[in-house]
Amino acid sequence: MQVEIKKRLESDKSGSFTLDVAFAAGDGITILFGQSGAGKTTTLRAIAGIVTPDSGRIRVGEQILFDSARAINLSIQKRRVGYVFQDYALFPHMTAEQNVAYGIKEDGARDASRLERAREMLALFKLEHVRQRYPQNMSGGEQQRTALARALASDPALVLLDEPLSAVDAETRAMLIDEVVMAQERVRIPFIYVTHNTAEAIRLGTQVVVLHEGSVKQIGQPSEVFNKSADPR
Amino acid sequence: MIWEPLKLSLLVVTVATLIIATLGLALGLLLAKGRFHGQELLASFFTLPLVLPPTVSGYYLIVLLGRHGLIGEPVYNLTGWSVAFTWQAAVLAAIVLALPLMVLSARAAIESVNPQFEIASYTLGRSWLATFFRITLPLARRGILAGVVLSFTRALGEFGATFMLAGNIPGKTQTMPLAIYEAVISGEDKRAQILALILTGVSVAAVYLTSKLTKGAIKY
Amino acid sequence: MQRRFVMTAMAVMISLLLFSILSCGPNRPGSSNSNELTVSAAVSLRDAFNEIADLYEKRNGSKIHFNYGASGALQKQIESGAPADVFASAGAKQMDDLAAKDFIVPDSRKDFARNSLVLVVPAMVTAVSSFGDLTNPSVKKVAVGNPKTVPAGQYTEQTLNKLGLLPAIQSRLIFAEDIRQVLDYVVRDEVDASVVYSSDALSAGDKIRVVVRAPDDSHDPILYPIAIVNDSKQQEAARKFIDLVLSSEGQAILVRHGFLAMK
Repeated sequence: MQVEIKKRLESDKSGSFTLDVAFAAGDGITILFGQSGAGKTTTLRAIAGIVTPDSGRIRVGEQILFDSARAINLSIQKRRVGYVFQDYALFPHMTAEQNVAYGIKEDGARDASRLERAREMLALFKLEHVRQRYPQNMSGGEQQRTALARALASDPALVLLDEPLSAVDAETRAMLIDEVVMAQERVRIPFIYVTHNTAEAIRLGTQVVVLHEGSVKQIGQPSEVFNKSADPR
Repeated sequence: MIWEPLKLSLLVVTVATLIIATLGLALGLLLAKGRFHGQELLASFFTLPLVLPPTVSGYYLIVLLGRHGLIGEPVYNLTGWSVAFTWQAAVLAAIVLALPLMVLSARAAIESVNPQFEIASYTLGRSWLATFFRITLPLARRGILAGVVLSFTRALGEFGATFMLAGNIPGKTQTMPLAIYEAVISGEDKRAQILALILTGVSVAAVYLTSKLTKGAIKY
Repeated sequence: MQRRFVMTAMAVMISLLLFSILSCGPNRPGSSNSNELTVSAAVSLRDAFNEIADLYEKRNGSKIHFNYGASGALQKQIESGAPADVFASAGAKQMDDLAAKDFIVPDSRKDFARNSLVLVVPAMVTAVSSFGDLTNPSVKKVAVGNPKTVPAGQYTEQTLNKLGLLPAIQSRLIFAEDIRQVLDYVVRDEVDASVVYSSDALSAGDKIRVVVRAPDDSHDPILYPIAIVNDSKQQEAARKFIDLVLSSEGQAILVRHGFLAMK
């Protein structure tokens, strides 16, 4: 996938600045790295279609999601972009399997078959034991994996993850990092992963895009970026 | 002559509440999610009947819908029918007076739902309509139900506007509140007390039932 | 599951809506087809008129719908085109207003009843035996209708003025918005005296004592007018009803309920 976006932003932390981001991503995990307020989350939201850039172009595979020059701006629903939110956003009035089944679309499918597929997905993430639990009765790690399972169940072409491990303790984090890597290797679609944690970036990333105050400072392999990074952390 | 006004009240209030629930929900949604010019003006307009004395609202209603009214006259000329002095007028009066309560409650309830949930639903490919019914509505359920109960009880006690537009016609438009008023004015204290007791009983039952229904709701 | 429930609920709502809309078409059997009359009358006339209506229905076979309310509100309804056939008011002012705006059939207007003012006190009170006694120091509160909004209040004000009592007892007057409330105050012994219509006093029974009637010349004649509404589609039947009210039988019924017959 390929993204080029420009957007003027008002941020309460650093006044207003312009987001100017361009990068390409293939099969693998692309880390969006930077301080808070650098524009990482906004970039994700632009790719998902939650916010509209002032100008630019977003392409995923053969599909153009956004092109200001040709006035193309697909709705969120049409974009086939999975999103794992920072606080997971699991629907509190649905069980884990109902959450995961929610995004599964099969024309003419009965609820039963969608739940079946949801259970298969949960099994892949080793979540069978929580499938009938509500989010508030699940641990942080279980919620995170459920959120990822839900995003993947909707058969996306791209997955966005917004600091998904920031709320988990270090021990669970290590286990979850492996899960994310394994999940990506299973589906073989681009993952765009936002974090400000260097360790995560090094463990997970196929490439790293460093953002600072709205613009891209560096793109490269984790080893390159974190050994001779121009950015102080 | 106790059952006539009771039957009429139940009919009028049931029809009115059904219409208020759907219309109020739609308007609440519009005001909660809409971003258009004059939005707050529209909101204030719908809150008006809450602020005006019901008799004044009723006065405006009959001025508008009576046979010489802005809307009523053309309708009458076209169909020979006028809404004044019919039970439908009682429904209309109840709607006008109780709708604001539903709209305010629905709007607040919908606004209280974390938009993150709705966005998550969109990213999972669900339409705005499906998201409203499967995510927003269930999560806003308690506030919306409160709005329905509020407007139900308001419609049940509606008097001033009902009288102006529907008249106080025993057997045809005399709802419980009107029957109570007439009993008091005519010195029929016993009848007034019985009617008032029944009305209170119905209202209390309605509120109690609703609180039982929402008792089992998960706290988010 | 949830979706199906919502769909069914909506379907039920919509069908109920459609039903109620459809059931109110112009072909409803109602006052416009048969000879049914709609009579807007002041609430104080209710018991008397209900009896007269029974008589009418027996004689003519057609039904009368009454719309009881405050004269002022009834007037507003008629001005806005409410489908009343006959208007019977508790005061001349409302009828005058309608006549001036051409809402009633001019030669149909007749005065059908009179009333008088009486001074009443709670049953146990003995200190008051005339209007003049209202100036006694023991009389602290006197309930009357609000002269601005209640016809009975206006007549009361005239009487008190004529008898020269107004400046003295002005501060003791308690205004009520309807005559029922005035009567209620006396019945509950909340006030020391009040002035109401003789027809109202009758309905309070032995909880109050009628002291004296106000002299007929101390206030404008208290007349109740009745007339046919101009837009009425039942003018024939309306005339029959008014005739019945004015007949000796109708007058007798009114007298039995505390009014005075037309001389």
